[in-house]
Amino acid sequence: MTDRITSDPGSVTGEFRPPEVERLEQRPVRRPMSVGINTDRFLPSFMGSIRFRIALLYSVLLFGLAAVVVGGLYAGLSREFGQTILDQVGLDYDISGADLSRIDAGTELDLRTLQEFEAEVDRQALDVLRRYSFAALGLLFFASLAVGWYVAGIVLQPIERITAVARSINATDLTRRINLSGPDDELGQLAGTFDDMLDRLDMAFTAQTRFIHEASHELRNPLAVIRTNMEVTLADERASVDDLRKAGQVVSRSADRMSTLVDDLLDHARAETRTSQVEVVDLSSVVRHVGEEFEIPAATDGIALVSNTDPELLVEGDPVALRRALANLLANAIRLAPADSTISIRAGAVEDWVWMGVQDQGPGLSHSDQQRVFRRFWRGDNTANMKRDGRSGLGLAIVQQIAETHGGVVRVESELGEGSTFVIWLPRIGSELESKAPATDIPADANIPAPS
Amino acid sequence: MRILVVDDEVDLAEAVATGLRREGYAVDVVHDGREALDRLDFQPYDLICLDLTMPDIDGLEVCARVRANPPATGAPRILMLTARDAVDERIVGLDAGADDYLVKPFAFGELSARIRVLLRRDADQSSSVLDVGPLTLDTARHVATNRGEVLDLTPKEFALLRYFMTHAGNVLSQEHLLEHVWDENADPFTNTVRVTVGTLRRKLHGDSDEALIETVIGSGYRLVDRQET
Repeated sequence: MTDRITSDPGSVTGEFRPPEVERLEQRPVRRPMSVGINTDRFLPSFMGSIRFRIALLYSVLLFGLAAVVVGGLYAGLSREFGQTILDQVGLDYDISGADLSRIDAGTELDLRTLQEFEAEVDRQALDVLRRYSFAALGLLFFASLAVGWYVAGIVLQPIERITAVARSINATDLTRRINLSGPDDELGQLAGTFDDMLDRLDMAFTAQTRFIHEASHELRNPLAVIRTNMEVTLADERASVDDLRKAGQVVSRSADRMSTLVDDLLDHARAETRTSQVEVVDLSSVVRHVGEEFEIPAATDGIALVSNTDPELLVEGDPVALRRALANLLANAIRLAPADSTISIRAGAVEDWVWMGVQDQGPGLSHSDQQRVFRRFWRGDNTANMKRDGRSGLGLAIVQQIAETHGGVVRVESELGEGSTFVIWLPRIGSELESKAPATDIPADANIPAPS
Repeated sequence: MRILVVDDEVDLAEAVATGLRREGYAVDVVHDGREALDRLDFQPYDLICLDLTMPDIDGLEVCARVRANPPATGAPRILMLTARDAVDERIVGLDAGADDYLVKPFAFGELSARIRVLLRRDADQSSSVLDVGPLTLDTARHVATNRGEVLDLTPKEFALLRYFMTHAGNVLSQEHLLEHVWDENADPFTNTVRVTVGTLRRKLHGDSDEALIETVIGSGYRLVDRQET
């Protein structure tokens, strides 16, 4: 254990500080909606915004489209005009007729002059068309820019709202939510996802704060013992050597308690974080190791330790944590079991689950205690004794955390006066269960492994 | 002044009791709420030092029960001790009927000062110095004087004098004094009260024949409360 503490301090202390949030708070926010390229060095700030880019894109696309349409129209028209009416009517048109003389009597008009005249009219019409087209296109460009700017503003408004809420959130107040009204569209979903994330963060922070409160509460008790004993003893000028020795013993007892507590708090914090050291672990070897480790303590208390496992019970996980979990269960069992009783540690597999468990013939747990037994700092009803033992009340909470970070659960089955069975269920390697929440997936008949 | 210390931290309760006994209080110690309630049933206490978090019956419940159902022997002051420092918890504690609240780990001096303040409330005093006739008693500094002369008293005599001075003019029976000035270790069948009152009287009176502590025959003792000129 100690080796891990010194070699891997990051994972130990990492639990207690929220560095991400601090960094977020310190980061200066300059532009509300700038993303990506840093354009603000040579452009006005609004040009760096998505709104501007959307407006510009919209405008350019509309302009391009209009230009193509107008260009096509122009090309078509100019081709139409290229074939003059006179060409179509052709030579059979009677130019010496009264019609033409009526246009300009006395003027001699030949066919060539008429054709030139018509071409001139066409050219002028096309000129006018071109001028108007260009003017219209120019107008369209600016109009579409304005419309684009306006539409983009409406579309992006929820994002601004999200940004504003995100900016107003800090580490100490995670209660704010975006609560975007409107249809369940892409932005609605974004806001919803954001709110969900805030919920989870809020829960995590609340849990963390509660844990720190509980931990400090637990540390305060032995601290109060030390302080009061020291003050009372030192204030007594006539204190005898025996008095001082007695106070010293009390202090040393409390210091032991605090160091156990600190160790367990660290284990608890470590068990909460997902382990980085994942490898294939055979539960049968975990059971064997832990069984060997506790052989002597059990024998000292006159307890027979029986271990029995199926082979090849493979799970993915941290072997140190899994051993620790089983060791916690076994240490509890040995402490509570009467002399001349038997404790069995077993492991096996049921469908996609593998399990390892400890069964004792100790005092057992009442039904209500079975609900509370995994709670942090839960100590049963003889707290005073337990405090004297110097135990932290974290052992089973650590077991539960280890089981949960491995995608499993821990179950207890107990009868007052008969003994207790604690079982850690873990998903078998490669099983489909790994990604699912396993709590209710355990078959009822497999919940209690058949005791031998 | 008799105090009940209730705390499941045995080492803490014992240390608090030792310190308070040295200050002249009669102190009994119990380690859980049920025992505390049993004790309160038949024993009058002036004050309870009550730990908030205890298994089974916790401090809040003890507090609430004492307040809802004050013992026939008189309602004690309650000083709540707890390792929880959240404001909410303090409010809950005070709402349940605690008179004061102290967060662990505390300085023993603060505990004893708060106890003095709470006990003073019963005696309608505003400072830690008691004044009765020619006698003054500083509960904080542990000094008693008679006409300006410092009295050399044992802790028990000091406690007895303090009890007399906070109940000046009242007739106090031997049993009453035994209950409030001595703790559970005192043997009720000895004449310890009579002996201690006797020595205290001797130390107060010196050679003068003026009786500051009167014997009321058949009833007990009374500290004479008359204004001296």
